[in-house]
Amino acid sequence: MKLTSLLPLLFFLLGRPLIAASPTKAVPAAPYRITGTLVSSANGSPIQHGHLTATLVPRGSAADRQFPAPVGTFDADDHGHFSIAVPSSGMWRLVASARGYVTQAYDEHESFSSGIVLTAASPAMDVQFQLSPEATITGNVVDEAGEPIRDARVALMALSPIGPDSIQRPARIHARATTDDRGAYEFDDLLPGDYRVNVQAQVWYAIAAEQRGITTADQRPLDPSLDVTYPLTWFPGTTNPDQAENLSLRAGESRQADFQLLPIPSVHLRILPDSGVTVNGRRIQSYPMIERISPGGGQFVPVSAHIDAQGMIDIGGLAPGRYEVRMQAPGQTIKPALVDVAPGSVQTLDMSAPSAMATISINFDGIPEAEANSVQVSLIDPTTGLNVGRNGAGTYFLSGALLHQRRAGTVKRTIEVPPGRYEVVLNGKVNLYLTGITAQAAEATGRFVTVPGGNSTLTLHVADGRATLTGIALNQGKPSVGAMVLLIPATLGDPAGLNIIRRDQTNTDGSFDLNDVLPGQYILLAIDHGWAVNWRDPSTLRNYMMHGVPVDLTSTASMKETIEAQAP
Amino acid sequence: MQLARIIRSFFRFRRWALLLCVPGLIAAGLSDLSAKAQVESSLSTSHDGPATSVTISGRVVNVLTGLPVPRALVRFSDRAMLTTHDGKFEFDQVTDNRITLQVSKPGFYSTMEAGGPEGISLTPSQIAGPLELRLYPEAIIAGTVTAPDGDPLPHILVSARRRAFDGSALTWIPVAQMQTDSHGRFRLPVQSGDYKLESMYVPRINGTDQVALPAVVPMESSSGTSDFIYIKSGEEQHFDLHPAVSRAYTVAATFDSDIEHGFPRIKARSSNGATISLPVNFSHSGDAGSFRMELPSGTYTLIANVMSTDGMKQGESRVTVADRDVSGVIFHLVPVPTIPVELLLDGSETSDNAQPNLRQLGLILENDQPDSDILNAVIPLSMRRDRVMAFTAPPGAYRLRARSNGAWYVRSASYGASDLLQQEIVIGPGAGGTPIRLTVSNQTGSLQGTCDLNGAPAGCSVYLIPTTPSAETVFVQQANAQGVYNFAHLPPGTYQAVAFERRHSADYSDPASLVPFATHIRAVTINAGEKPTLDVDAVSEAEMSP
Repeated sequence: MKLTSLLPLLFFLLGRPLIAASPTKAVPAAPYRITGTLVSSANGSPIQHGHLTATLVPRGSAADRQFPAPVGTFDADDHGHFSIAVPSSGMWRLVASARGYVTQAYDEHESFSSGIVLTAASPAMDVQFQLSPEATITGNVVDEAGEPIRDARVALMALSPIGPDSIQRPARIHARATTDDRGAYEFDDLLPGDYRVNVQAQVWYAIAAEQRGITTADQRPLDPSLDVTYPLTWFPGTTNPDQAENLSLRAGESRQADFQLLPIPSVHLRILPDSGVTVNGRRIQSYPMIERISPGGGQFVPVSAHIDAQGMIDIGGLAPGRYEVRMQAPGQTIKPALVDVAPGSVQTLDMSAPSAMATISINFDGIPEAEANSVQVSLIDPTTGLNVGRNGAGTYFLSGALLHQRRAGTVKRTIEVPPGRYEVVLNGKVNLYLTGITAQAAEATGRFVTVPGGNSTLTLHVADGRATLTGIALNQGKPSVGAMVLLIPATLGDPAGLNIIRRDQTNTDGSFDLNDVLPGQYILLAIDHGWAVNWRDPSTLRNYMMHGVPVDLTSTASMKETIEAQAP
Repeated sequence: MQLARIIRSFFRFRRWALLLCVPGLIAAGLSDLSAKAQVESSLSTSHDGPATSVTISGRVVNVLTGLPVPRALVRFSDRAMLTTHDGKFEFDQVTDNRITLQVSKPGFYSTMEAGGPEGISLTPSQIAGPLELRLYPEAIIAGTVTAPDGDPLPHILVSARRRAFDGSALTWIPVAQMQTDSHGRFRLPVQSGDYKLESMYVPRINGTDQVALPAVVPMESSSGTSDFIYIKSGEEQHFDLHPAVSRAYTVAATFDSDIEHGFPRIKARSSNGATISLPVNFSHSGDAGSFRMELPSGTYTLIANVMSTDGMKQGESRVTVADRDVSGVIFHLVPVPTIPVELLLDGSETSDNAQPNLRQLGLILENDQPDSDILNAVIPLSMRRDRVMAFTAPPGAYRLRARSNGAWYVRSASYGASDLLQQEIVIGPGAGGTPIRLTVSNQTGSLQGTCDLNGAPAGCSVYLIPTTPSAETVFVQQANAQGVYNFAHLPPGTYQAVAFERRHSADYSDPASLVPFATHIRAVTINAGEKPTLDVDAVSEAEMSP
C-alpha cells in the first residue's frame, strides 16, 4: 500500500473534511480489532509508551477524493502491547510513534507500508510492529573567530541510490533547521540511510555594516574586511558539493556535524540595465531583484545596490552561486537573466544583451484547448531535481508554471529556462499521460528534452485515461505479506521509453494496488521480503523479470492479477 | 545642536564672549571625570571653522562583567569597524558635524531596556577623549515543555511576551518565539525586562486527536492580577511547562443572525481562567453562518467577535464538552456598544484659526482588565457609519486617555455622572445612548530646561507625570545632545518631573512606579501662559538595575 500523499493530511490539519469518519470512543464490543506489540527494529525489545493511530484507506475508483480522519490515539502499555478497536472492516493504515523512535506506518519501507485488511471473515489481526530507533545529526556552526553563528540555515540532504533505469535521482532536501543562539542545530526522527549536510549563513557584521537597500549617494566603499560572505558550505567544510562527506547513519545512531564557516570576499555584480527600456520616451530607472537558486527553491538575499549616474548598478554582498536577476521597473517586469556568480571577482551582467535563455513554446496534442490551460508543465533538471521553468507573468516564482499569454484570441504558452536537458513532467490533470514529444529546434528522447538557447517548440502528445492494476501476491497458496511488487516497463533501459517503474507493498491479505499507471507493456512481479533485495541492480532485476508476468495495460484498463511471489 | 551653533557664532564674531562661556563648560566637564559610563565632552580649542577632522576612538565594554568586548561592530553613517581583541575601535579623519554612533554584536543589546533611540548622538568636534560604549548581554529564558505522561513535547511553539506600557495601558508584546526541539527544549534570547512565557495551543498533535492546551508561566492567579517573570541582562532562567494534553471534540456552532461574510474570532475561556484563541473552521455546507472548532473536555465560556458591515458584534455562549462532539451551540449576536464622543470648547478665548478635532487628541480607552488578547487592550476612536466619532468597546471597565500632540488638551470629561478624569468608565452590554462629553481648552503652559546625567548635560528622556486629574498619564520629551528639553503645550496643573538616561517604560499612573527614583523627582506647577524652567538630573542606567 502506498502511503497517501501529504496533501490529504494537510487538508485534514486545516479543517475537518466533509466526509469524516469520526467515531466516538464508546463503541460497545467492536468486532474489528487490531492487536499486537511494538518492538524496536534494532533488537526486537518492546517499546514502552508508544502511541498509535489507525486510518481507513479507501480503495477503488473514488479513493482520490476521500480523506478519512485518523482514529486514535491508542496507547501501548509498558510491554509494548496494544489493542485497537476500529469501527469498520476495510484496509487500515496503522501509524505508531514513540519517543526515541521514528514515527512510521506498519512495516514501512520508503513511502510504502502494509495495510491491515480486516474483513467479516477475519475481523481481527495480530501484528508485530517494528519501529526504527531514530537517528539524529546535531552540530554547532561557528564563524572564523570561533563565535557561534545564529540563524544559519542548515539543510539535510537524503541521498537516493541510482535506479535501474540509470536515471540519477538527485539528493532531496529531507529537512531544514536553523541554528539557535549558541549556533546549535539538530535533525531528529531520521531513518537509517545516507545523508549530507550543508550550511548557508549570513555574515552578521557585513549585514549590519552595509547599508541595505538601494542607495545612490556618493559613498565610501565598505572596508574590505567587512565586505565578506560565507559561501554555501558542505560538511565537513568544503564548498564543493562533490567533496561533501556522506554520513551513513544506522538505526539509532547519533552523529555530530560541526561547521566552521570562513568568510570570502563578497562578489560584486555589475548590472548594465537594458538601455532600451523607456516609458513614454523617458528612460526609467529599474531596480534589481535578486533571487538565489538553490536546491529546494529560491531565496531572496539581502543585498546592497549602488546606482551611479549612468544607471549602472553595483550589487554587493553576494556569495558564490547561481542567481536569477530580474529588473523591476514601475509597471513593467523585464526579462530575467541567470548568472553564475563565481568567487573573487567583479562580474558584469548586461541586461540588454540578447537573452541566453531557451524560450520554449508548448503545444498540446490530444486534449481540447480549453482543458490544456489546466495542465501544468514542469521542466525538471535531472541533476538537481529543480523545477526550473519560469513564470514571467509578473509573479516572481521559480516554479515551472506555464506562462499564458492571450493575444488576439490565441493562447500562447511559453516557458523560459536556461539551455540544457530536462525531464518533462505533467501535473494538474490526474488521468492525463504523455504519449510522446515532438520537438522543433530541440531534441526529444522519451520524456527528456534538450533545448538550446533561443526559440524552440515542443508538442506534447497526451492522452487521457491511466490504467489501474490490482491483485494478490501469493506465497505457496498463502498471502505474501509485505512483499515488494514491481511493475517494470518493457521499455526499461530505452532512453526513448516514456513509462516509469511503479512499486507497491502487499498488505496483510497479499493485496496490492497500482493506481494511475501509464498505459503500456509491463512485467509484473512480486518479491517476498523484497525490500532487502538490491532490485536496482539491473542484472539482479532481470533475473526476477524472467519469472514475472507480462501485462499489457491499455488506457483506462482496470486489471486484476494473481501472481506468485518470488523468493528473494 | 543649538548650543554648538551659538558657541561657534560667538567664536567667529566675538571671541571675548567665548572666553566667558568656556570656563563654565570646562568646569562642568571636569566635575565628574571618574564616572565610568559617561561620554566626556569638552570643547576642542584647536579648530578653525566647521570642517575639522577628528579621530573618534574608544572601547566597547560588557556592562555585566566590565570586560572589553572583542569583535563588536561600531558604526556611524557609512563607516564601520569591528573592535579589536581588547574591544578597542578607532575612526580617523571624521569630518561629519553630527554622528550617531551605534554598537552591536549578536548576543548583546545596546540598551538595558527595550525601546528608545538606538545609538549615541555626538558632535565629533566636541569629543576629546576616548569613548566607552556599553553592551548588555542578552538574557535567556529556557526550559522544557512536557506532556502529562512525562514525555517531552517536541515542535511546540513557545513564545515570550514582554510587559510594556503604552502610556498607562499594559500590553504584552511578543518578542521571541521558537519551537521546542526533539527533546522538548527551547531557548529564547531576550532583553532584560518583565515577561510571560506561553506554550501555544496545538490542535492535533502529530495528526492525532489530542490537543495541547496553552500553558502560561507564571500562572495567572484567580484574582486576575498577573504576575510576571523578571529577568536581568546576562541571566538565564529555566522553566518547565506542563500543558494539559487531552482529546478534543468538535463543537459545532451557529450565529443567530447573518454575519455577512464577516470573520469571527472565537475565544474560549475555561473554568480555570485560561483563555484560548480558537482556530475556527467554516463548513461549506448550506448554512453560511455555521462553523466548527476543537475543544478538549471542560466547561467554557465562548466569546465570539465578528466584524461585519454593520460594525462589530459580539456573542457569548457557554458550552460543556463531555466526551463526545457537541453541536447546536448558538451565539446570540448583539452589536458591540459604541459610545459617541462630543466635543465642547472651553468658554474662554479661543483662537479663530485652530479649531480642534477629535482626532488630534489621540483619545483611547484603556482596558482595565486586559487578557492576553492584545487587540482589546486599547480601543481607539473611530468613525461610525453615521459619521459620528465613537468608541466601539466590548462591555467592561476602561480608563479614558488622551495623547495629544497639539495645542489642545482635555480639560474635563464626563460620562453621565462620572468624571472620567478621575474614574473609570464602565460600559455595560446595552450602552450606547449616553455620550462621553469632553471640554477642551488651548490655555496651556510650557516647560523647558536642561537635563544632566551625572553632572553633565546629556540627551535624556524627561517624563512629566501629572498629579492633578488629567486625561494624559505622562508626557515625554527627549532632550537633545546638549541636554536641552522643551514641552511646548502642557495643561495647567501640578506635575512630578523625572528624567532617565534612556527610555523607561512603566505604568506612570501607578505612584509606586516612581518610588525608587524619589531623589531625582522634582515637583513643578504649570499655569496657563507661563514658561518656567526646570533643570533635572537623570537616573542613570547604572542606578536602574537592582
